[in-house]
Amino acid sequence: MSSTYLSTSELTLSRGDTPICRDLSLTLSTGECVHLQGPNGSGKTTLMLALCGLLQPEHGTVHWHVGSPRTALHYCAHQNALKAAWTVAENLDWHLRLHGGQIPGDDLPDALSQMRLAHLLHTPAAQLSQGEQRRAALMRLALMPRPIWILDEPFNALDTDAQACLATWINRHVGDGGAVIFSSHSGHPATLKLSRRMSMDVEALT
Amino acid sequence: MNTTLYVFGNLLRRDLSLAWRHRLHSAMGLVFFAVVAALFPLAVNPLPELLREVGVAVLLLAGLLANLLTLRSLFEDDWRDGSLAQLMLLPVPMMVVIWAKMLAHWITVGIPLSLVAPLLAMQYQLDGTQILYTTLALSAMMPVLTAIGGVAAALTLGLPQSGLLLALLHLPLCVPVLVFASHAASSAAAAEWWLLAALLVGCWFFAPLAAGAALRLAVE
Repeated sequence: MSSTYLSTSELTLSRGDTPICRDLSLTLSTGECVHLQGPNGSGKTTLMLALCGLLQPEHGTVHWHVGSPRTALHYCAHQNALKAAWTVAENLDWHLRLHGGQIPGDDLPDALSQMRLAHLLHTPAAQLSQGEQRRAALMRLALMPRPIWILDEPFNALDTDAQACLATWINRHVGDGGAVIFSSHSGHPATLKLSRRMSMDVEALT
Repeated sequence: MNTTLYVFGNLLRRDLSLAWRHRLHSAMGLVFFAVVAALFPLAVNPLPELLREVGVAVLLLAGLLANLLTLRSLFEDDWRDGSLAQLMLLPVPMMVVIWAKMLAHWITVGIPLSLVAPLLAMQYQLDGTQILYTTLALSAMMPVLTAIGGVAAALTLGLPQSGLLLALLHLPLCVPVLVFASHAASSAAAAEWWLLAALLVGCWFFAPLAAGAALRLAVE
């Protein structure tokens, strides 16, 4: 039985004078993994911001059928949202304290070793490489369970192993009844089980 | 309500802990204030009457500029590394987030300044009561400046030359509180203190609303 997590009706977005989509109707149900495709500047990030409620659409609405962006969403933006002065552990700890408040799940140590971050836990984020920072930011997904993941270019800067690990996480999350929207301009690991692709093309979305 | 208080407390602790981690940067306002207030008497003719005359003005102005110097960091760090979007997705109204950030700014900038003000005021040949009133006026002015500055900092977030724009936007808005504080410090009339208190309450209530709307635009 699949129920809808998120739907948009007649969503119209533009960035400056550039139209991004017109009257877009999109639904995201349990067990779906959607790949948002499109060249640079085609508005993938803008659409994601609108879905998260961080951007007021020009026209139309975004409905959250389960909870709200504030309680049911993991949003990983292009920027990693890590504090350079804090260690990886401190960054994760503060994220958890602000958003969840509960103790992290039992599988957090496993997740840390899958992302090969266990030995970097006490290193300040400023000393990590781009890929390591990205991995640390993606650790939020394992920190607490949330049904909807919106990931902006999650595979950027990751090496092959980390990409495969993220693909496994996404597959597992989708298998458990979650839903994922991710954007990528360069493709994704072959192991990822996609439900459908969406092309960010003004003609395709009207 | 409980969640709101819980998140507010954690946000405040987060910002204070970050300020402590960057303590050299956080102390910039205090150092600026102390240097200006300490050097000024050396640069003017050291007549006791003259010093007494300008003392209140120098202290209040140095406090205002020290506050301006530290305003940019209020939202900019969080905006630059993407944390601001995550903070906007917290399960509390945006106003609560901004309140916590303003309170943390006041604790790291406003309170240390107010604490050293009596020491610096001694150089200006002020007597005990005048020192007390000047310190009180400065202590009441600093949180108002933080609130007004929060709006200005949110409005100029991410713009090129945001430092200059911030000063241009912020300084005219500071005129009323500066006038009331200097009157309160020198005349100690009750009316000025009430006006200062009204400004304090009004700014802390309305500024987070305005700043929240401006931050939304910055994240888009």
